[in-house]
Amino acid sequence: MLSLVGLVALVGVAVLRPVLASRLPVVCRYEGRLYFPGVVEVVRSVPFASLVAGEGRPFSLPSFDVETALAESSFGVRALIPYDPMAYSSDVRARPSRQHWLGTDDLGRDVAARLVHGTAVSLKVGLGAMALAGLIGIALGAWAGYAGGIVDMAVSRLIELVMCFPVFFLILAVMVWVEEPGVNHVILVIGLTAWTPIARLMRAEMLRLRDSELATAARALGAGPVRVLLRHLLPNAMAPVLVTITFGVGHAILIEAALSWLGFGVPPPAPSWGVMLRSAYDQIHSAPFLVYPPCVAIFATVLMVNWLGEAVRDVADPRGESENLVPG
Amino acid sequence: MSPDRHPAALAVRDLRVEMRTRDGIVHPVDGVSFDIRRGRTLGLAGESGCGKTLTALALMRLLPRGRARISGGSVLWSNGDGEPVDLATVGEQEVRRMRGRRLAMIFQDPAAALNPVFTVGEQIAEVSRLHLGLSRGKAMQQAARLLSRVGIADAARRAREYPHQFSGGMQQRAMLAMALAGEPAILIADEPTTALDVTVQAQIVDLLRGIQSAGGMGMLWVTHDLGVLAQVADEICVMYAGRIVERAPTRELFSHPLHPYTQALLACVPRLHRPAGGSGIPGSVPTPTDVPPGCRFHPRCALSRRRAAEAGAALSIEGPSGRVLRHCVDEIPVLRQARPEHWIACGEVAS
Repeated sequence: MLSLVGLVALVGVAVLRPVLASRLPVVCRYEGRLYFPGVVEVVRSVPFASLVAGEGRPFSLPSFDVETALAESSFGVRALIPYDPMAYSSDVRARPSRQHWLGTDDLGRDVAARLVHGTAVSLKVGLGAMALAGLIGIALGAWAGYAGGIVDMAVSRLIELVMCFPVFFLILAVMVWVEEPGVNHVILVIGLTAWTPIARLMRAEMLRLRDSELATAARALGAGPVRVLLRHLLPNAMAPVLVTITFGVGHAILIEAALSWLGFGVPPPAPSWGVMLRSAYDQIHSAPFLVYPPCVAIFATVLMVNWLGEAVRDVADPRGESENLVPG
Repeated sequence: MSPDRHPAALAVRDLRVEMRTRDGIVHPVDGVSFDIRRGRTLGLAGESGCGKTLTALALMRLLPRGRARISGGSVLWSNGDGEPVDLATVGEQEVRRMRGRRLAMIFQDPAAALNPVFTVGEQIAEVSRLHLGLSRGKAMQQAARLLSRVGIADAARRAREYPHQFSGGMQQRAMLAMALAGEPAILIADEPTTALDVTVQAQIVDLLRGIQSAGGMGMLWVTHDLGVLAQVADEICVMYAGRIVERAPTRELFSHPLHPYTQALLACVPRLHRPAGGSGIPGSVPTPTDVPPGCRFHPRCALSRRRAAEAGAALSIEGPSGRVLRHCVDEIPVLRQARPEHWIACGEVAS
């Protein structure tokens, strides 16, 4: 329960990052009119929001200098952490203070702001990669288990093949090969390799359910194979698969951090926990306080994801005896 | 029981089911024939493993794919007008349209047959939407009507509940409502009361009888429980090791059981004023991989053993379970009429 609350809070942090940590004010009055630059950024960061949001005033950014506007304004609310995650300053390696809660790094960037924006990267990789892996794993596993025969053969061999790849080095190879590596590439590669345990589990569930009385009863009432599979069997096979997917999210977050630490993940100026950890590691003697924020963030997030996974497992399997389903 | 008043809706002729096992191909259903008539209930009785459930599944073309198939005979469905359709050979698409609409089936364990992730109402509504093309709203109303028809109080509210909120008897009623949703002409009930409490059993039996007599539906009731069949069936087929050994109207069968197997089965039903004699039939139903030659019941047949002792060595043969009549081993008995409307497959029982 705690883990669920924590993760919801993390997602909230990720979505609301322009309001939480940005140079832009949340609300300000400029030349007599109210503007909401921070809120506008939140809306704009939502995928496809631009389709709904027009170019008109509520959704447009005012073209004014923020500092001037705030100086002139009689009314303005700054973000909680009033720094951009990528804005350099001369205040280099400042210790944590009231001004910079977690200090600044070697380029004078506010660590707290970078941490907040890094949340989005980690969650995007974790959730995105496992959504992709889940989609592939569920579709292939269900198809193989239900159809049987040659389809099952082919899918099972494919699973074994993909499982043989040393995933981490495959990702490294791909990231080197890609010209401009970014978050989406990390998501893609993790998603395309992490689906095998999901597919195996799904296939096993389908083999069990295919000849169950549930399936026979559905067929006896006139349901065709597609309806039997999608409506009657799939929802009943989802519980253990969901557990695996949840654990996979934590795993994907770790992979992203490790990749970024090695310099093969998210390209450096962008705020990512792995990138932050790397630069902190380089100056561990001059500014040791920089190491803690990304470490604690990664640790806490993965811990909460795994706790959530265990909670899901307890709900799905009330007997409480399950084997370890962590992929990888 | 005149055939005109109760036309055969489903005529099963010489049905054979073939099954692939490690020891080769076997026939767990081997030449079964019967008619399911409109407004009548046919009972199919026999011990576990004698092929009665496979017979029921074969009629619905629901045999486990890749492991069993219909290898011979016909299952003729006729609607009263037009050409009969042979369900044993007709295409998969056509069979799918018939299932739930013309023939419906209910199962032994409703808890396993109901889908735990949808409400009972949704599941019933799905059938009438599929077969009768009702809209979602209409189908849900119809589902509530069906639930109250199968004796569930406060049906509109119960329709929004999930199967696990229903008791065993209620679940079987819900299954029945699903089966009735397509307004089928034939209902196949595979051990519908076996998993239920005795008191609930009686309720379900009454309910099914009421629905059947009101709707003119034909019913095939598969069970090992002759006591239940005595209450519901108009006619009974007794099955042994994949074959029908005796067929008679219910009253006739219970008053004049002719086949030694039927007699032995009836002797197993406990009665109040009779000591628990017989104490079952020695041995068990042979597995399909290992059926004895001739009459498949002969290794367990008390009659054959008794007659063998009288007949002497020339007419008898030493089997693994004692001395039996030679012709019981050599000849496959065919179903023949022994009394009016009473058919039996045994060479030893006189007409």
